[in-house]
Amino acid sequence: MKFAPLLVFIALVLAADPAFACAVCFDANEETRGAFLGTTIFLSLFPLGMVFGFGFWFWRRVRMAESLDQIPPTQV
Amino acid sequence: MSNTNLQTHPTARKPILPNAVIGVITFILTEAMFFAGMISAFVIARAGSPAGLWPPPDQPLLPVEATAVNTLVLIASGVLLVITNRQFGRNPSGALKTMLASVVLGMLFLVGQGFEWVQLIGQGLTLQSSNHGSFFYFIVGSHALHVLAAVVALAGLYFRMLAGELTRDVLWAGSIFWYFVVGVWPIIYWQVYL
Repeated sequence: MKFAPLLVFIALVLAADPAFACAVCFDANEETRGAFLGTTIFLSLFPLGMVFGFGFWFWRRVRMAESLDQIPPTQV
Repeated sequence: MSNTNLQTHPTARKPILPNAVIGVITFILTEAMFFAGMISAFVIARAGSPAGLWPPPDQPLLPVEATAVNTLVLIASGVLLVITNRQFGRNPSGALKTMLASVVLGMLFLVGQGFEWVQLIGQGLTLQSSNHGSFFYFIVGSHALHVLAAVVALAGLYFRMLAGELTRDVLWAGSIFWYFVVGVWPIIYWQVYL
């Protein structure tokens, strides 16, 4: 009996049909579906790209400033 | 006592990035998402248009050629601001001239957009006429508001430069915003007009 919840869970998973509630998952128009998918990928990656791009640029500026600090003042 | 302190504590280093630049970059990151969201929504609406017709048959075509010229005007303005930044401090009179030219070209872009809007409204393209009209005025109008704000800011920087009160950091911050406004426009033109 202690496996009853697990069996119920497995039965529910097997019995359930996929739900196309999400507009990205299903649309009659192939082009719309492609646009949904493309823009979802774009909007997911774009902010990450911007943040990492800024972070990398900032890191390079820090490294440049540190390398300037190591040069004796007479050579700067 | 004070001499000892001076010897043991190194001189304060110049910040990696000025506060003004960090503020503008943070603002631009959010603005970039604003435009990315609008353009994404537009791409989806266009993809779902009936029979793949975009713009809808009863709506006017956008003036592609005239706006291409206007695009070149805006890009030229951005290039002039790059030159201004290079000349700043080395050639003050040259920097003043290129800065003024950059502001004037930004204003010309706005005037060109205004003429375009008047013509399109006359041809029946309004906010309520179709999805096409709604997206067009929302996206292009948002950009125009950014151009207007940036032109006002650049004009302010020009007068500060004229008075000899402009610092390199503030010019850099203002320029970054203008580069963003200039840089996002070709993407809007490509998606909305072509």
